[in-house]
Amino acid sequence: MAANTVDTRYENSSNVASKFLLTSAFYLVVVAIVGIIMALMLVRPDIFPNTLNFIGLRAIHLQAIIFGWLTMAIFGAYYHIIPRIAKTDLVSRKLGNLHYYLMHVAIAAVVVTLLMGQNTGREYNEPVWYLSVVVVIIWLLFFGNIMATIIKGKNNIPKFSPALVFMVLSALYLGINYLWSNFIPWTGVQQNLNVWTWAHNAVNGWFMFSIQGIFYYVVPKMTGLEGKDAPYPHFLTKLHFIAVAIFIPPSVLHHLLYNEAPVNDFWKYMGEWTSVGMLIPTFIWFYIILVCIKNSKKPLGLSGKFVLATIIFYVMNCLQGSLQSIRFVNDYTHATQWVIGHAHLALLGFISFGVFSFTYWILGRYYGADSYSVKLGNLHFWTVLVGFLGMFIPLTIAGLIEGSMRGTEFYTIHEAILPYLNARVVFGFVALFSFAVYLVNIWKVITAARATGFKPQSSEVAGIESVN
Amino acid sequence: MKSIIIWSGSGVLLLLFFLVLSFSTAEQGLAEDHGAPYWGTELATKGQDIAIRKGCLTCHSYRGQLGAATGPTLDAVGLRLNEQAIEAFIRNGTQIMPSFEDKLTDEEIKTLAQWLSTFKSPYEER
Repeated sequence: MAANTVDTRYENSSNVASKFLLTSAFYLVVVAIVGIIMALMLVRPDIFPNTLNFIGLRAIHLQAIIFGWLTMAIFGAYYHIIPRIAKTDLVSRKLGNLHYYLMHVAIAAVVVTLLMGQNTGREYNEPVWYLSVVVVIIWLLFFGNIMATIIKGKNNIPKFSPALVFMVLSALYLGINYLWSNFIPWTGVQQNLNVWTWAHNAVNGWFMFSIQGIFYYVVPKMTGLEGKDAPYPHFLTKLHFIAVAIFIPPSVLHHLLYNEAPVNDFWKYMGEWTSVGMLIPTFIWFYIILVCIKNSKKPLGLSGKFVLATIIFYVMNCLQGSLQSIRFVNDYTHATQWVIGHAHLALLGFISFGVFSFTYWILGRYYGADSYSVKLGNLHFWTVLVGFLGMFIPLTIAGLIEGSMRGTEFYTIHEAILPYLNARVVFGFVALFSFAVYLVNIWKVITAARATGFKPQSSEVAGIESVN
Repeated sequence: MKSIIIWSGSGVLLLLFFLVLSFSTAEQGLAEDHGAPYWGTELATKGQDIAIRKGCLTCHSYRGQLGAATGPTLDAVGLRLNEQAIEAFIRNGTQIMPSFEDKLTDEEIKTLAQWLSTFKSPYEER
């Protein structure tokens, strides 16, 4: 890569974003290791000491994937994309770096307190109150920084930028839902509702929403179909936004469809039908990204592969989600391994694949190549695909078996689904291997770029070569 | 800038609207004791507090609360085990479930066992 084609307008932004994007991969490996330990504990509990705390490990698995891997990577994408839409460098590099280091401290503190047994017992929301305060401070640092950047560059932003609107709203979703769920002492029925309000809005309102916004920026750039070249009518993005904003909040109630869930019928119907309504924005987005990929003017490379996998898994995920939100199906699948399969489809199949695609693409901007070699990139893609499907398919089958045996004694059911749980452990190792390949790939791209005298992290390559 | 405030702002308003509405009306129209003995009673309030804080509900679910499928559901635990047996389970744990002997006080274990032993209606298919 020639040194004279670098673009140094966004030094602060590149500096902070590359830190976030690179270190998030570390937490992915942690998540996979903890997941494998837990999967092994469920099939061979006798090989582990009784002192190993399953409750703590499960909470670490959840927290590390939410805040360590996905949120870190998405923050990185925000720090890269928002200054470039506003055509203004990030306002404060110091605040961005403070945000970055505080994230590591907070995640380490969460892991330690969870292993010590401090746990609120609310799914996805396990860290205790003083860590919640730290999370709010971190969010304020992040949101203040990006909003200041947007305000500084307010004359440069287009009239309606779907990427920007999606990303700002999803950041607000994160903050508002966190405050709502953690700082109001809910009890009884509201407490029950509150668990799901956070759990659902974290995945649907923060991860899904922000990934869609990031793709509205990344995919047109990747395919060379920006602005007037866009192969889809622009009102579709507005329709998409309106549909998502209307359907997300009430669809939380689809977690409480159980026969005796403490919610009245109105809200149960609301949960059911708004979840089915989520299919509207799903297919709008699927169409938009698909026509972009189909009419691409540039070779897509490794990240294009991941984009395609992302949208396919997204549609699978939403079909499954809407289906199991219908009460008839929900009776069958509730509290079985099916749910765990669905969670892996959402967070590993859809969102992690999305993160892989934009991480490779953005790192390509920084280091001149999106993959070290064709072989290494393909090895990552296919092993993560096999590892994920190998976990998802057995879990879904196990869930259906569990549903059909509803009411039978727990250990009989456990015996029946044991082969599928074993399969999950095996493919868990495949997934772990693929994440290691991902780390090696990123590392080799960086060392190769450094070997040519390229100064990383402070500049951006104008012309990127697509290795894959 | 204006478009961000209008679009994202209306998204935030919609979110807040549904949060307030669903939290304030979710219970309306249900019978006064619609949840007994699982919730609503004095014992349930105490038991639920311990179950949530100490992590029982990380693995177990009852009446569709939380989605964890790791341990058996507690819906009808009172049919299988009596109060003393439940207490022994909590104290000693199993191969997968950790022992809660030194994580809970004696009183907390007794409250939990007393509450869980009243769980006697299995999951109902509609």
